[in-house]
Amino acid sequence: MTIALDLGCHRLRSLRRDGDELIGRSCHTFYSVFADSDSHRTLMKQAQVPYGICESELVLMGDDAVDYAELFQIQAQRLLPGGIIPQVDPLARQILASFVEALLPEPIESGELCCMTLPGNSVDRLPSKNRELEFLTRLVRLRGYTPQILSSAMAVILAELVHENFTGIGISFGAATCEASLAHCGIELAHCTIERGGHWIDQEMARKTKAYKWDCHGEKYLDVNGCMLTKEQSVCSLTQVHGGDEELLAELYRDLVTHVVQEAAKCFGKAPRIQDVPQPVSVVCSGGPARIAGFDALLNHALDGSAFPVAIKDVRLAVTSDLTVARGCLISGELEAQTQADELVAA
Amino acid sequence: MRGRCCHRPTFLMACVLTLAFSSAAAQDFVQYADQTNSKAQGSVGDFRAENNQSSRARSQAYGIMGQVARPGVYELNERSVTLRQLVDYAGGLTKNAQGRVRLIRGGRAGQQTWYTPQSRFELFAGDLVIVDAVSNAGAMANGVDGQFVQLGFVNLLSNPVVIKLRREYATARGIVLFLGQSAQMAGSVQIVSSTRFNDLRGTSNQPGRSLPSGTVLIFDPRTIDYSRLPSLPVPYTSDALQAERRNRLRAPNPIASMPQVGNHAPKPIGPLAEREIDPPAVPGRVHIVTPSAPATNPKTPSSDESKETETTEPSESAGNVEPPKETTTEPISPSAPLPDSEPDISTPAAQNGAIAAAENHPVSEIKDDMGFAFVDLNSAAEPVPAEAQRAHNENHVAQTSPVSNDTTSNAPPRLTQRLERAKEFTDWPAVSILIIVISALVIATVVLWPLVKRDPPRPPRQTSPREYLDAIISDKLPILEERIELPETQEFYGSPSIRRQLRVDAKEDVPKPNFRPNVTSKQPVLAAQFVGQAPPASDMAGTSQKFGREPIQSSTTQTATEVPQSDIIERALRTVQGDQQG
Repeated sequence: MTIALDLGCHRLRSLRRDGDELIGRSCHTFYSVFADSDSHRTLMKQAQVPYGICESELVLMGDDAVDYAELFQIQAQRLLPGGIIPQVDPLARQILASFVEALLPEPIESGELCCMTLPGNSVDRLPSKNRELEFLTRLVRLRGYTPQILSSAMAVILAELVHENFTGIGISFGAATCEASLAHCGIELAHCTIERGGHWIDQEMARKTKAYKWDCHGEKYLDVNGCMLTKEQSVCSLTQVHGGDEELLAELYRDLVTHVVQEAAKCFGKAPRIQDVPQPVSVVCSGGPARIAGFDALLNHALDGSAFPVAIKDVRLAVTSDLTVARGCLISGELEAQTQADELVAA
Repeated sequence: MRGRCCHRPTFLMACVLTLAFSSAAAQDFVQYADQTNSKAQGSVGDFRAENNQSSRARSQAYGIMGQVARPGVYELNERSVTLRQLVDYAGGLTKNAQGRVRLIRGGRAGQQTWYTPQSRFELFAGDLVIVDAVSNAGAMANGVDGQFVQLGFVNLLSNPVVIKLRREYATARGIVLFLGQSAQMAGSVQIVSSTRFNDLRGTSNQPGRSLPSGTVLIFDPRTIDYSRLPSLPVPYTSDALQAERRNRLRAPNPIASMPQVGNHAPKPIGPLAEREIDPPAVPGRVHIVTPSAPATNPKTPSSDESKETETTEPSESAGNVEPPKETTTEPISPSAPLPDSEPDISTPAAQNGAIAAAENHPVSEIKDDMGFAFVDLNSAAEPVPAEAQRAHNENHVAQTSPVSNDTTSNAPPRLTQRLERAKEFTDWPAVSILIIVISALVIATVVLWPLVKRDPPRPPRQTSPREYLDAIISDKLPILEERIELPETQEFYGSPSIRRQLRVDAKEDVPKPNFRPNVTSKQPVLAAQFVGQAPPASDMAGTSQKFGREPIQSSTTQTATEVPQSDIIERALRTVQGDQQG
């Protein structure tokens, strides 16, 4: 059995095949800490919410942490801020380990393949200096799987550019970073990570609109989560803004998309085998920030305005499913598993 | 004793016949059990069947709806069709088209693109393209006024279906009832709304919610009862489109140039293929015919409207529905499939047969008081008279091949044939029948037991990993999301460190209080000292702006201008000097 693990800065997801169905699991990468009292414990038990205990504090994890943060007026903390595992936060590492264990079921045989993506820019960093890579792959190995690393942009290509023989450009718009890959027949020719994502938009939005909130201790915070919810639930289109916050949101999105396209153009321009790619190619985008209406028009405009080194045939969005990247990982893992099986048979 | 001897040949003959009958029936039973078993193997072969169905669906049909001049389904012979070509076939975009184009491919939503005249977005057979409107007001154009909504159906037939429906009936439950399916099916229909992604979810859980124009319903082929489907709009064909163009050139009246549609007439073309359908006011009745004047005889139309009705009605019903009659509540054809038979749709051939059966389903029409003609699906569900049924069975057994026997009817026809023969046994004396029944039971038990024991149900064919991989790549496998299970309580080590990245208190310190200087002090020396320490007015204004407040009109500034403090000092100095001089 092969399994896919998509470790993002905002959500963790896994996908596996069980019979004739694909089973997906996911959770938010948040935790929240509040005082350990009898009333809180009773409340959690009555609500059947799992919790952790940490030095006279109660810890809520995942979706429950987001849900109950508003109720208790506390600030939900990110497990992977900016795609980095915080060194000074031992609690975050333990919660991550707990999540990975919950996302990955027991393997049928030891050493089964787990194709995974890494948060932030961990894919591009050297393995010797990559703490995230070391820590997360160790968690997967402890669970009994053999990890295989894949970039999320390449996963998007594998999931969505089937009819183009896995040739084209995939862009994954994540919470902390955006990734872009150029592939030819399923082989990645160029890859770049841009350290700006949907979370940057939320922070800028909160800063510029001065959206603050206070927790139960009187601490003042930027209301980033509130801006994120507003952004996700907004029905406005980036191409038709009606002033105020919508204009600011469109401006931030324009900055993000333009920045990503420019960085990708720089990276792809340096790729050595770019001339081998039959052009024009399709561009497929995925990720949470790409879900807003008018995003494709914005991306088209940015591509037209930049001197992109590859001719573009069309731009499409794969935003309906949350599990596009995970499905791409599963395809990669299944291909790798079959190759290994064929090699065994040949041997 | 004599009686027994007299009955002995009869008994032996009956045993032989019963044995033959029972063995044949047992074979049929085993075959039927195999079929049932293969059906009950779960969904192992479901996606395989879907693959076959999708390959069958590649009849180069493309659907387009939304903001185009002529929405509908187009059957094109071209080798590869681009989005621009399809939009051209559909008459181009309307003025309210937004430019964003959504795509339903392979029964799944999720692709979007941006339509530009230069785009070379290639389409695949079976794709349904939705051209979104700029705003909701845009839906008023393109003939979709406030009364009607435009809907698309995917996975219902081999091609996508685009229809126009009255707004009040455009609910998931209403559509499912209109399609002759059970109301429970509404829960399994995936609804792809024309609004934003957030609105897509939850609509499936509200089958009574009104659907906006541009909504696409994705059906689960496993839950569709093809025998109950009404006739649906047929695609535009490229030949018919060319013929339509020629007709337009010849005759200015497009309605007059429409082809006459009968049982073997060419497929309808033009805007008429996108049919206006009123769903049933009464469950089971489907209004498929445009209204005609109640007092007018439909066979002898006199006005232009009646002409239009005459030409459009048959074209809407895929050429298989007979022209409207006065009042016909009886089934039209005795060779129609039995209404209570449930077709096996687990194989593509069976699906072909089921779809063909659905398209050839006898349609009985009735008229209401307003002159609207209805297809009475209830009448189709009523039992067929015994004579017609027998004639149908004989005809069916004689005409159908063994393959179709296995797929299109529930009971094997050979078994039916044997049952027909068994009716001849009713002439026998009662004692013989009793003996035959008992012996048949005994023999059947003796014969069936080894058969069942020898031929156990075939194990399901193992699907190879390669097939599964193909299914994952083509996104055919359904995705189920399950909740992660964390331990109820966990113990963690180390103290939680609350990160202060997003805190803003460092830069937002409350400024120190800005006291008003005591300018009315009676001690001039102290006042002079305070004046020397007070910040200039420009600095105070800058500090106020830094903290986002209105600039403070410093009282120090006013005091400095109104009260000449330097004069006070000079006056004091003069007084001291005068005292010294004096």
